Amino acid sequence: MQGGNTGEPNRPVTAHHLLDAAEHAYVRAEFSVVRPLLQRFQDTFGTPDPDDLDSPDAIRYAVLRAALAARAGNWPEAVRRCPDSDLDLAETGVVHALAVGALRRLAEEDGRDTEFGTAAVAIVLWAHLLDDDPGDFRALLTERRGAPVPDELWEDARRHLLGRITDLLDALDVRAGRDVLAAWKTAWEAEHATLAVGLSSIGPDGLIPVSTAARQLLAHGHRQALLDAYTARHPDTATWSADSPDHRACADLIAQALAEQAQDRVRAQEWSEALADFTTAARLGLTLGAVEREAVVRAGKNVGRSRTGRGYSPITRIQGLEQAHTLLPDDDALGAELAAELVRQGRKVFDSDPRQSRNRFTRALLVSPRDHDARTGLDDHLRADLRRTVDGKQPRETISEGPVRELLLRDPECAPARRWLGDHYAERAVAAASDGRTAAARCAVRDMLRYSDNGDPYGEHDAYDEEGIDDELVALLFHAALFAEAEDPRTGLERRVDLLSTAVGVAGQTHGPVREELDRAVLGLAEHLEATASPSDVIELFLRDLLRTGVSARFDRTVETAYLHRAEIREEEGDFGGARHDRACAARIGAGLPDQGLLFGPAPGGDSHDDSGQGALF
Amino acid sequence: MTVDQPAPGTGGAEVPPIPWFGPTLHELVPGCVPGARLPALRAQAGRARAAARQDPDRLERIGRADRNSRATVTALVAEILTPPLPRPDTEELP
Repeated sequence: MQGGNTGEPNRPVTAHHLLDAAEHAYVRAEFSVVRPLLQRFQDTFGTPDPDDLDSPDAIRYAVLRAALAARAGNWPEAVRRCPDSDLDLAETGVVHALAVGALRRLAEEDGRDTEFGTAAVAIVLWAHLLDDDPGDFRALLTERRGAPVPDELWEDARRHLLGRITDLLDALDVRAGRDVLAAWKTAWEAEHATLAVGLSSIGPDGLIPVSTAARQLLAHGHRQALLDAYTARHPDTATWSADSPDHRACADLIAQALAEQAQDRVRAQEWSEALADFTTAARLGLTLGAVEREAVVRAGKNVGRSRTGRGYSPITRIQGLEQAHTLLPDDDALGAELAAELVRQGRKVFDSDPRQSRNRFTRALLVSPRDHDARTGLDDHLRADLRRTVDGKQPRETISEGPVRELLLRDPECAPARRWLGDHYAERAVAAASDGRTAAARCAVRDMLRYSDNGDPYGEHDAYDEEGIDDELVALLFHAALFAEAEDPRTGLERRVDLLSTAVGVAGQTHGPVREELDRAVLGLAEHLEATASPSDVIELFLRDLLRTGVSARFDRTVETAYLHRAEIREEEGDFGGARHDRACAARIGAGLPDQGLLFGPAPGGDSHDDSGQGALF
Repeated sequence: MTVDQPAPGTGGAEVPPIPWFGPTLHELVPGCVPGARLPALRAQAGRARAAARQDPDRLERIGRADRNSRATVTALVAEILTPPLPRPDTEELP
């Protein structure tokens, strides 16, 4: 490559020569010469592709331009031009000049604490000069002072300067309020270890990726600082999870830090804290090895107990054992210990906090399904609730069929359980019969008999044939009707009529007393409706055919009055056909016609209102 | 990322000092060459301070450079922190 000369006549010049001359001038502080040489280089050979940093000329040119820019105070250009690799291809003296300039820039005016590009240049260049020294910086010093620097002195000075640069970056971090994950000091330390700083990828959030910073801190004994900074960034440790986008980048490193901290806490007998750390670490993806498992077991055994072994905090202990059990679900001893602790606590608060007590026993059974004491605790609670119902009190918890049946399997002599189940199936029988589900009602009666005081819950109940079952059902319905109550009297009376009507349906004609009770109930309801509701309500009841005409003179008179009353209303409304029909119905009832059925048949006369279908009656 | 904290220098938080990075005696004092022995450096610095009595700014800079070059190690560090200096050049260019 030729293109002119460096000023010496008749001598061919190459790009290499021009760069040599420019570097030579720079290290002799002949800055006024450097720029024309670089300009000539550019005019002759063009600007090297800044991305082609594999080219030695490109690197040398870039460093020279960066150094000139820095000297002129144009640090953005210096940062943009400065390469972050292959710096050994450039003249070490120029690299050094740029490096010194970067430090002085950062240190001026009480610290350029946000000039992250300049900081990155300083970090990259000084790590290059002082660490591996591929550009032979010591040779440059030797040349400048005319004698080699003794090894020991060089090492001391090198360490001193590294420390001073660390102090500078730390001071700037403090001024800017950067945490250790974003700290320039951390990036500086990481650069020594792994050449972590890339000048093309820096930003105000940090000179290195946060995961690199975390790795650096963890690897160099700054675990506590790492965890403190991470906690300050993500205060809610409950959200720390490997699946979370916020935590994915550092999950494994934070998990490792927490696991190490947990080990320290186990050694310090801070059992709860250790288990909490292991739990969070596991959520961040830590797989427990043998050492960690052993630590979890040890913490689980001791958590909630004081160092002397006498003090005891059951809640702390349960929480800790829960964590240990979650971490090591296959460890039977931990599970058994947790269950035992839960049972102890359940017993302790049995009377003072029944709900907590029940929850503890229930949890114990989940952890250890065959735990006899936990089962007994739950049974005791159920027995207490059953006794409350027998005494007419509200149970503390809703009682359901399954657990009571299971209790009877374990304790066949438990009378309150039998009583409760008997009542339960009786209610079910009545409800099913009322809904017209007679088969289900009969089934419920059989169940009821099975759990009655003298019944055998496990045997076939052959003592009752179908007729006997129906008799029991009728008796239940009859009994329910007698005690039918509701918020308003009409609903109660209607409920009573419905129950007795159902009972009569089941009993057929064999239960005279039931029939008579139904008649009385229908009459009672009719008279209540007459007093409180519309005539149509009375007529509607009459048309249900629950009480035939001629059986009760009071009932017939009530219905007749209702028809006449409605006829008057219809006349006032201009519905003369309807009124005529109602009067005809009243007349039939007044004449003692025996059967409501006639009222549903065709009425005499051609008027459409005399059509005596059910609709015509209303 | 930065975390919240009191502004620098406020709230009682101790802000670490910014260390010294120059200018060095080699830059400030003519004839103070890299590699000079400490007594010679001291003497040159003393003479330079005396000469700079009328220039408080220069006096302060020389004093600071002197304070940071009083031990063998710090003197070498100061050399390392010295940028290119003009010097006689008898080399032949390549």
